[in-house]
Amino acid sequence: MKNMESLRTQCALQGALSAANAIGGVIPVVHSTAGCAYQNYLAGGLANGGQGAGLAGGLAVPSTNIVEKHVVFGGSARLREQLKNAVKVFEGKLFLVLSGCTPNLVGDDSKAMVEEIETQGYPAAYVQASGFHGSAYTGYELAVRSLVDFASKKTASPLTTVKGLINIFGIVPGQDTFWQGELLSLSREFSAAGLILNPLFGFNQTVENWKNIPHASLNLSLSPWGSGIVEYLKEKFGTPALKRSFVPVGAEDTKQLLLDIAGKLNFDEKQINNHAEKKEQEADYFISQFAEAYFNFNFQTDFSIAGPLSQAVGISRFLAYNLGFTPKTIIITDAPQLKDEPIGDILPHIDTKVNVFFTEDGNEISGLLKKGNPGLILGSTIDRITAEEKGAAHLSISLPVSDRIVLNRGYAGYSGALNLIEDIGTVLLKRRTQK
Amino acid sequence: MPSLPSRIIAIAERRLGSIDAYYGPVQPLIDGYRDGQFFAQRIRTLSQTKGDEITVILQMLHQIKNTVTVVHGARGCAAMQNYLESYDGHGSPVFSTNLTEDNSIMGAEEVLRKTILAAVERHKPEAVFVVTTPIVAINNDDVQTVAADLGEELNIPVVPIYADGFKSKTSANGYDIAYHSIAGFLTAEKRATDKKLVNIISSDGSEEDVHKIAELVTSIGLNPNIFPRFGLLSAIRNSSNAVATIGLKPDSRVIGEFLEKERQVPYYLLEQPVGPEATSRWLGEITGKTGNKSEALEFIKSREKKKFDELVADPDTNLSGRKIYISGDIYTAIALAGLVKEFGGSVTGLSIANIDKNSVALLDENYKKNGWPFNIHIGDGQVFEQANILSRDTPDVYLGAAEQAVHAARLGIPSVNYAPMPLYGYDASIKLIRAIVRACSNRSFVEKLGSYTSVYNRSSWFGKNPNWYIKQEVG
Repeated sequence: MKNMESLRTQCALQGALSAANAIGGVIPVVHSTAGCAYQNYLAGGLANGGQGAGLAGGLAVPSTNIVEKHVVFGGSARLREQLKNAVKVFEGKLFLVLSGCTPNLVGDDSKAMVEEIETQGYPAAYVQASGFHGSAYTGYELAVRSLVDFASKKTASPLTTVKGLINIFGIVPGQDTFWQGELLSLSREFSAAGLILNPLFGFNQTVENWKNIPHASLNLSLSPWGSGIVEYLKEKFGTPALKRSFVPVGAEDTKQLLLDIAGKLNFDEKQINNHAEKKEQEADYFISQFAEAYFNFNFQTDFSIAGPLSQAVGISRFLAYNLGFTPKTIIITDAPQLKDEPIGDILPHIDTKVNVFFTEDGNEISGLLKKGNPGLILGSTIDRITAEEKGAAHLSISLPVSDRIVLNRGYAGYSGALNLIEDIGTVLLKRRTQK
Repeated sequence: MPSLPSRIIAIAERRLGSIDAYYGPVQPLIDGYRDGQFFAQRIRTLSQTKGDEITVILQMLHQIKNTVTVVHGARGCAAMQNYLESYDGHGSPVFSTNLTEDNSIMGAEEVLRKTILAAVERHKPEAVFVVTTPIVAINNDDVQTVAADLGEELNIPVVPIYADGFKSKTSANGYDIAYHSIAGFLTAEKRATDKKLVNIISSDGSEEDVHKIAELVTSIGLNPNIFPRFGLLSAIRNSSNAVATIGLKPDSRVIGEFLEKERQVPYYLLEQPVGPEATSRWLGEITGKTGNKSEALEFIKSREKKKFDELVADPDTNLSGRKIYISGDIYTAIALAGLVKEFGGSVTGLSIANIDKNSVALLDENYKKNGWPFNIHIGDGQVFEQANILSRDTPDVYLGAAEQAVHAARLGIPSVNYAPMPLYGYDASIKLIRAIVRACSNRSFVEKLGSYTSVYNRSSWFGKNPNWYIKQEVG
């Protein structure tokens, strides 16, 4: 049994709820005890760069708030009543029922209640996401599968494919702090390269975008948590899948990802290369400017990082391969099952040995970050205390983040790397002035 | 638990007639509690999320020094520790037993045992709190035995707090559950009464307010003994020797009444010292109740009165003509209503999280004094009902806790979140008054929010009575 102090990841119900809150027009209906959705708001909304939880999030989430009599006599009727009334009060394009621990333990038939409201002409779907089923990442996977099934119900056969349309999975709302920024940034990069990204979550994304999923030419996964989804879609619609375990940060990894996609789609590589060349010129221009501060203030440093795999590896690779920083310790906090890529293949390999750990125990993370006295610690806001103790610079990049506001900022792609340089440069400067 | 008759306490609904659903005139609500009766229970046929017993307990335990909390449940039941640790900071460590589906079927006493042992080995706490959750209530883990065994083995109190998460609709019931266990496990027998020692029960609120209370009590020659939040376990042990226990909210009642009955320490639940008038009254009551004739009190009153007169002369603290809607727990809401009146504003509506046979007296008293003509809303959260009410009441400012204030702001109403602001004492609340004036004078942000899309079907829902989905419970 692993110690579980200061867990950074919420439960499956809360992960599914964060996913639902990130899609316009989806009204989540939580079938559980009162505090489940409220804790999601505190942990995944406020303590995640102050992002909040959307219009139907926070205290606005419809929740059956079941009590003892529903445990004793069953709560299906309570859910029926809740759904019947919710459709009258809320404007929704989809009522997504998320069923938590208690109703699942007592055997409520949430699925039947959803089918019942559907027969009345209201769009509804169901996710059985008990907290004990796993972490928020599992909840994300469960919600996505349910949403895919709902959105593809009326897909006409044979399927038409839109050339260059790519669905993206694995960047997890409510858990990955920069999820909105990463999706926006990658959408822009893909569009400039002649591809069309279907981000599915965030700004301007509604149930309508989910209906386009079957028509994509490719399903892309950028973390282990999208891996099972793209396999599911391959089975369901025959769409090819491309699986990567990390979000690309900076020119090299972004270009490589685009070229890998082009290879999968038989897409014109020349177009990708032209785009990459322009973006690299732009990035080089700013990086060249950064050189003045870099050398004036001796920015080159070693670093340790704690966060979900996709982010920790993506950022580490950029810092190691582009900024000349030396990775010391990489702590993976979402403990994924790495089936697709051996961890050793994707980690940055510099002249020193990188220590890699998989843990989400807060106390253990603090201990690991302290080792080796890195000059820069990237982790959660809680890790700031460790950084201060060791005199290291600190940047919050993973949950919980409560010392900065994160709206559309991201580190993915070409422009994201410049954001990362700005943020890291700023904390390194601050540490210098504080000494 | 030697001093308590049972390991659990009856829920607030049965014990106190607590209700959390009502919208209507104030008088029938007050009448419903007359002559020892309980107001008829209401249920919601449409509801939104809210805090529960567990969230209330976790925020309280997080600030008890030198302790560790183990949440025995799925990981999501402890998720808010992310928020507590990163915003509240410097709190006590929180562990989760992170129960799986297998645990939910086969039980998880061994997981609990190992987690407690790991927590103690790491942090060497003076006590461990074990907070139970819905899974545990259903799979019936024998938490009591695990706690008792480990308490003996480790020689520290291992305090089970039986929060099933679904027993009561009233989240404040969490305080009662926690205090029931704290009373039984952590208080000590009375040695001798210390005539200067006054227990101050701090269940929630900011550290700044707790310090202010300590300062006020000290100013009249008494020694504050503050617990549980921002206090030490020694303060709880020492509470039996105090001359009185002062509660700031009804959430202190279970521990207050325990100390009164079992340790002969009189308990007084006083109105909150928010603003000059209430603070003078509060200090006066304490000196009276403790038999402590403080000569300093009159001097403090007159000094603070002068300061206050200067403050209200400032246009930045004038609420004259402002209509203000207030939401919160009943003691805070009523205290804020008094403050608003003191600064020249008027209350246009009240939304109270819950009410019971004990707190209704405060409502009655203030209703008689102010003759409020509006309907009162009883609901914890339930922002859809509040949206409907606010569309009718159209206040100048909404005053509420953060997560509610934002929903009022989304309707285009200037809103102020009072929760993180200091409130207690003569002049602390001036910050709040200034924030209200500021919110009224520059509405640009809320106007933008108000023009943004809404999740509510305005034509359908706002045309209905706000109590449409509140029904009297049958049987």
